Amino acid sequence: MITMQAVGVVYPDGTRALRGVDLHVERGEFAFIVGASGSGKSTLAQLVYRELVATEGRVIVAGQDVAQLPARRVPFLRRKVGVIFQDFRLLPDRTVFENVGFALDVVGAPRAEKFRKVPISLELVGLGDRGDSFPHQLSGGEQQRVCIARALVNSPPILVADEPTGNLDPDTSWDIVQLLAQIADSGTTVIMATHDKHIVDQLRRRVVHLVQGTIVRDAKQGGSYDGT
Amino acid sequence: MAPRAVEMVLAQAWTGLRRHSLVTLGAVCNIAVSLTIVGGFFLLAANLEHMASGLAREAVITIELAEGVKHDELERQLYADTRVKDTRYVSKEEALKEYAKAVNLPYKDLAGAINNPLPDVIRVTVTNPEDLAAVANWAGRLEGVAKVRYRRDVAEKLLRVATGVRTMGLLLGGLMAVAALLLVSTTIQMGVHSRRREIRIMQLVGATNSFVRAPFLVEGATEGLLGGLLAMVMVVGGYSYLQARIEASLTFVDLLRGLDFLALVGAGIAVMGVGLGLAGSLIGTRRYLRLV
Ligand SMILES: Nc1ncnc2c1ncn2[C@@H]1O[C@H](COP(=O)(O)OP(=O)(O)OP(=O)(O)O)[C@@H](O)[C@H]1O
Ligand SMILES: [Mg+2]
Repeated sequence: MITMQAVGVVYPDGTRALRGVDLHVERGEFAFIVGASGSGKSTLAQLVYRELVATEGRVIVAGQDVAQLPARRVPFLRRKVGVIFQDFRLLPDRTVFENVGFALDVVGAPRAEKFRKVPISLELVGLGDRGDSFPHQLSGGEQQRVCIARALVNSPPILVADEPTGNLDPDTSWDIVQLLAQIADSGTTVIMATHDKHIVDQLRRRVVHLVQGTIVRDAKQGGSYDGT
Repeated sequence: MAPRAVEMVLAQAWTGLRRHSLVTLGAVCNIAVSLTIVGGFFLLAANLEHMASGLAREAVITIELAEGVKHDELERQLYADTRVKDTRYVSKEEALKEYAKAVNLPYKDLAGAINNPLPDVIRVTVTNPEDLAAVANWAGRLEGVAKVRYRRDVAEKLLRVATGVRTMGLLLGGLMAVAALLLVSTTIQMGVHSRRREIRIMQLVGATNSFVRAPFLVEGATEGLLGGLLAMVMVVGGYSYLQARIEASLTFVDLLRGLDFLALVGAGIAVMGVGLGLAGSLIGTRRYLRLV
């Protein structure tokens, strides 16, 4: 579902963020991207939703070589890749229902589709009864769940999460990660950048470890944060 | 675009117009003023040209007689020339009467108020307008002729004035239009800025650039259309009013008229307004939106 071959990224100011990255993530797989601050986790994530284009190597997302994707096709790739962030990025003046529905609105989906899909998505993240709330009326964990619902409402085959638990307490973080793992088990490819050792060690899934932009370890199953 | 997308775009444009309503109003007024200037100068120039062409078509030479000269002999001489079709003597009293009628004043008042400054004249009609200059030249050298006037030199002067008016209108209006353009693009940039969070999310969930941009284009075009309509009302209304007033008092002035003509001018102004608005929002969104 995601393939990177000899990928390198050098930012315009000359900073090298990734070097020689080879990575293949299967459909329905769950992969942690771990590493110290500045090791290139966000850079790698941005390659997947084509916020960035690799300066070296090839990146293939959902069968598409993103470097060959013309700019006007990028929005259509984005519809296949749900994204969530540490800062939730919800619209404060819209209800939970409208925030999730926004992802359908802006791709021109009919109203009926919105009223059908948004409740399903909210149900999936366990917020079936909070559709009429506003973001400020929710806890951090609930806000992140709304973001996940918004990322999933278009049924994308891939979900990219960049430190989704960065602003949450350990218990809530664990709930969110379990939700993401469950989403992966139902067939969505999930990659999650994090430096939360605790949840990585607890979940025991694939772990890709970056040090200064290079993959130093790729534990396919039952991985831990530091390889122990 | 799907109907739902059109609905979304229009709703966003409407919110945008209201969000910075004062700046929007400023932009609308600016467009209105610049287009009123362009339209006003255009109408002035067009009328001057119209009058000039009317004058140029009349093949009449006016010969002013020197003080005390009898007209019979001169008229006979002129009539003898084959290029001359007709001659008519107009005394200074008759000329003043004609003038009084043209400016719509009672002759008695006029004659009493001023010491008649008009000369006795002979009006010579030439068969072929091409011969105007030649006949005028020849007539100017005849005995007893003080001065020769014919309409073509007046027409040429009018045309020069019209060109000046047109250029000035374009310069002034163009300058104002640039200001209007900048103001529209500023209102659009403000809109983009206050919606930047929303736009960022739209781009992340896969909205196309045209979908992100469309509400701003609609917003700019609406500002332009409103400004254009205001200018249209001012130019067409003002012109119709002035036309009625001028033609009632100065009957010799022949102005461009007709619904077709005014409708064309009005439509032109409205179209220019929309164009200005669209151009402004293209500039405004280009500079601010990071279009991936
Ligand atoms: N836009 C940019 N321009 C230049 N350099 C950048 C840019 N973004 C990131 N970098 C640099 O690239 C390297 C990798 O950054 P990245 O954000 O991918 O790290 P990270 O692993 O996500 O870190 P963190 O855990 O702090 O989020 C860092 O050295 C960073 O300074
Ligand atoms: Mg990061």
